[in-house]
Amino acid sequence: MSKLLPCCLAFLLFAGSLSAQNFTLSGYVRDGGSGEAMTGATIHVPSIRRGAYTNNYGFFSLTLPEGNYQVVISYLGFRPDTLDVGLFENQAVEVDLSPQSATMDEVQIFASSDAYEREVKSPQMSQIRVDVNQMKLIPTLAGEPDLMKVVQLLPGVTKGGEGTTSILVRGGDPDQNLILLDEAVVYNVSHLFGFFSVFNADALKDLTVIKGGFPAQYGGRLSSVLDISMNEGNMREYHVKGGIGLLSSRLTVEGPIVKEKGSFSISGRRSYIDQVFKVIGQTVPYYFYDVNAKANYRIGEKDRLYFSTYLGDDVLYTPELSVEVDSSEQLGLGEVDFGFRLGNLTSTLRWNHLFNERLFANTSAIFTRFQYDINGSFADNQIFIGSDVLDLGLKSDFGYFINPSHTLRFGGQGIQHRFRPNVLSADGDIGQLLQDREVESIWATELALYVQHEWQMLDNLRVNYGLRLSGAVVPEALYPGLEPRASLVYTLNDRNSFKFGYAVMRQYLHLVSSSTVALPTDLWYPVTKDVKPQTSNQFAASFTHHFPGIQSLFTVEAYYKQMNNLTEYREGANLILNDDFQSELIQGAGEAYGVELLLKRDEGRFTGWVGYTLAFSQRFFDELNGGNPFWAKYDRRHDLSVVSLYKITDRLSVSAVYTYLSGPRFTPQIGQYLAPSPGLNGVELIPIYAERNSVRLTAANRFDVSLTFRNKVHKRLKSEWTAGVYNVLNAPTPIRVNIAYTPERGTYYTQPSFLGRVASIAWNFEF
Amino acid sequence: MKNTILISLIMSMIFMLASCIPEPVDLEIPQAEPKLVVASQMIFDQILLVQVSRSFGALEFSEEQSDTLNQELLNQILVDSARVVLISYNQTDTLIGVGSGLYLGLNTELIAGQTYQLSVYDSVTEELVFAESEVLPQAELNELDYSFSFDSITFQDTVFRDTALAVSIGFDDFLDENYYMVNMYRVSLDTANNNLEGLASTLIGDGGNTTFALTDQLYTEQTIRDTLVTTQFRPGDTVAVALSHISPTYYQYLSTRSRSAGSIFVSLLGEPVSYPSNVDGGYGMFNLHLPNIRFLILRE
Repeated sequence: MSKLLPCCLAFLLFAGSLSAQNFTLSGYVRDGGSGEAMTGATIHVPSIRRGAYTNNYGFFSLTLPEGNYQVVISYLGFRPDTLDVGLFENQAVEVDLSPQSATMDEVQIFASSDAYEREVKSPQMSQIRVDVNQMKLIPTLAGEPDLMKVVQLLPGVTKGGEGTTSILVRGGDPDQNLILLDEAVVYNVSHLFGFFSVFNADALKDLTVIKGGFPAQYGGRLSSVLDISMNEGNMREYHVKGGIGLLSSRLTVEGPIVKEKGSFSISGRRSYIDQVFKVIGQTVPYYFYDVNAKANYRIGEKDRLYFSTYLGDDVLYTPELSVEVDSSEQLGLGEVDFGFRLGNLTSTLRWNHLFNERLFANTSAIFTRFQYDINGSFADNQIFIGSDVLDLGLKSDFGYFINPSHTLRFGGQGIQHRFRPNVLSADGDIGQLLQDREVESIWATELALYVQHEWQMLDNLRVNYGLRLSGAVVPEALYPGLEPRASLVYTLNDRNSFKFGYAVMRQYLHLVSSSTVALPTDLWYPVTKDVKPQTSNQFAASFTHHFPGIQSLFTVEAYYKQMNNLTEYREGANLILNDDFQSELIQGAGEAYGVELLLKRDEGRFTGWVGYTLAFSQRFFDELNGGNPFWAKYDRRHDLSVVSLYKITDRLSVSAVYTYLSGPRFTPQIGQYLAPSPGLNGVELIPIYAERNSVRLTAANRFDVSLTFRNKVHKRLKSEWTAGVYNVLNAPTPIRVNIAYTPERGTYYTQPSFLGRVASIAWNFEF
Repeated sequence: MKNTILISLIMSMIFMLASCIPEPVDLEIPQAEPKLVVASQMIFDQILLVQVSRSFGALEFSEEQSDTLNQELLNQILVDSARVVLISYNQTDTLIGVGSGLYLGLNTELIAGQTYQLSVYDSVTEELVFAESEVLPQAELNELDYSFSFDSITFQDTVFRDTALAVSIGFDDFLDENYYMVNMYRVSLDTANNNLEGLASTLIGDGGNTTFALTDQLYTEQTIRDTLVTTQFRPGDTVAVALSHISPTYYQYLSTRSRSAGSIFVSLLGEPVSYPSNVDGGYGMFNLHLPNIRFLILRE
């Protein structure tokens, strides 16, 4: 492999120069309304059945033999544009696509057909793009548009606890998802203890979920990549949009810095349940907020700068709660004040440079910080517990569009991590009980180089293969590793194809978490000389069929993932303020396999998808379950999601979601016995447990609906009311097992639900 | 305007429909079949105490519902109808039932290096379980000393005093991997005289007994020296310090016990902490060992 790769690269570099009669059509595709770059727009030359698509910055490059061509540029939800191009020299174009009305079905068939045909023929598999505008219409808890909860509805993705934003992909663990916001890793993706995600839908432009067949540019996690882009801002005019919901309100301002040269977008969101209750004299000492800001500026024809940042916190405080607390008075503690602050800060500075019409580069400097602080005070005593993760990264990605048959991507990345765990300081009398300490910071460096070649080998066979060389440098250990990636598509015709993918992934960080509920004590740590990197080998095979008659795309995909060095805790491990937590970690293996079905329709009055997953996920740890294999906690066997959106008129639409999900697994106590304590000073009750994770909570099914009513289309102030009902049928959604007792029934197990029927209403506006 | 009013009305109705919480759903969890439970303890170096009981369902008693087991449940789970036999290479001892599921071997002669088999047969249920334990060579407590430390902390104008007893021990380690248990008992004259009343008082206990499990993997020297700290004893107490050379399985049992006791993290995780057992067909731990006992009369 190591000798073959340089030969291939040399061949490719010469391939471009040998074709002397070829010329390149390159340029950018933008949203005609806002001037924002469009990611994934299709550029198609029907006469020769060749094409390209735009990258994350809206750039495309298509090298063809000289001649006259009709070039069609299309994007879902936009009116396609056709260019007549006489390609007798290199040409650069900028194409603006106009949004189309929701009811223009004839034109939409063309746009979605083009996109689906591209999906059929693309070697990239296990990838789903989520339309952010569609996402906003999907009913959610409390009417808060929530990206993570929409991702949970995709096949192959399941959730942690009911109502939470955590995701588990193809039998992986919660810490195996690489969540990138404008290339910056977001360590904590949830607000409100995991029940809402940190992503403000108004600030987002694009989301791509990759579950397998990973391109070589991505690495660092085993199970998935969520690549999220923020809005760039309108290049042409100022706009304000926002929304008022039951839980939070949000506001976005965007507009040009200099028309057609630069733009900005700033979005803010804050929950206000604390303020609402304050009006009626009650205290709910909690709020969250987040701010997204992005600016971009075109320096010249070939250079563009982007700066984006995200700041968000969850804040718990106890301002007036303290004095009246009975228990504190009994303890003689007087005023008690407790709170925490938990949040992320990310910043990305990017520089796009076009070396020539075929070589595009992006270089990013990335900063990420995840921090939690817990503060407590009573009388004259103060205690502070804190921890943080700080990353500084540099990344360069190059795209060399040699010709329609060959595209080369290569680049490198370096991240310097600093982990500061379990800082504790105490003042006052309590200082006698708790000693101040600041555990030495842990430094870790992640490095990676990659190269990837997409090659149209035959008319009906396209391959995408690459290699990622990654490694982590930590105290007393160095972990280099190769991550080969390959995927191929065999196209039967324009409507049907088979795809195969293989990817090796390596992960150098892991989450030390006390549960799947997001707690401020959840911490990320790097590998050490004792804790080895997690690795995975994933194989996937799929069949894709495009139904032009119903404008839909169907995919069935099977996968098998084998994982090594997964982390778990020893039985009885205590990780809270434990400096020696590494000794509590144990490593083992896992395997996951399953089948995913997806039928989707992205355009027209009726859109949505049906996703079903049949999944199995097992773990193998010598020190757990007596060394016998056991099911993963979130081994959910069946996962069905039906998402439908129907535009009744241009002003009225209805959406509904139905989900059926097998319950998560747990290990129940199924008996107990008495044993004298070894010191003979009494007896102890010893629990008898079932096989680890051998019992499931009852499966849950839920039906949510929402109705959106917009004001007249031509008004300058666009507004809409969205009313929704979560769990319309008030169906049980079990979250845990309790022991209940009634005189009639005696003692029995019961499963309380997360929430029943919850109505919500929100008002959104834009001008 | 008309539309806005209409929508508001619809919204209000939706809100009125809201705020339902589904009824909790029952869950059937098959319970473990009741099995005989065997627990053993050497009291000093000649009295073998075996407790025979029966396991019971997780729903039959919960510490959240009550602090203590009721008598009815105790009657069900303590097995007085058992024949408990200790078999060694040249002798068979039938232990004496003294009630409450307790069986005593008063003159059990343990020989280092020998493997002993315990068989327990319940004549009522006709269940039979076996367990084996090898008696490991006795470790000699060569060094023994103690000291008290008296700390006080002033917290919110209240002075909290703490008396810690630090017991320094030293003994020679055996070859290969070895495990040890140190028990400290507050003893009375009756206990020392080995009469049944004394034993009963020991079994009831007064909260003054402490157990430490040690592994020689944590020590580099041939002579293991350590200081064990407990707050269970006061000046004036007489304390028996018993050093026992124990099996890896019993060490694992003791470690599991100490790791699971009172761990907040375990409660948060809700993950199981499984206790090892060496009882074939049942639960519990049968362990024989030769304690080496020394006494300390604690002075301030």
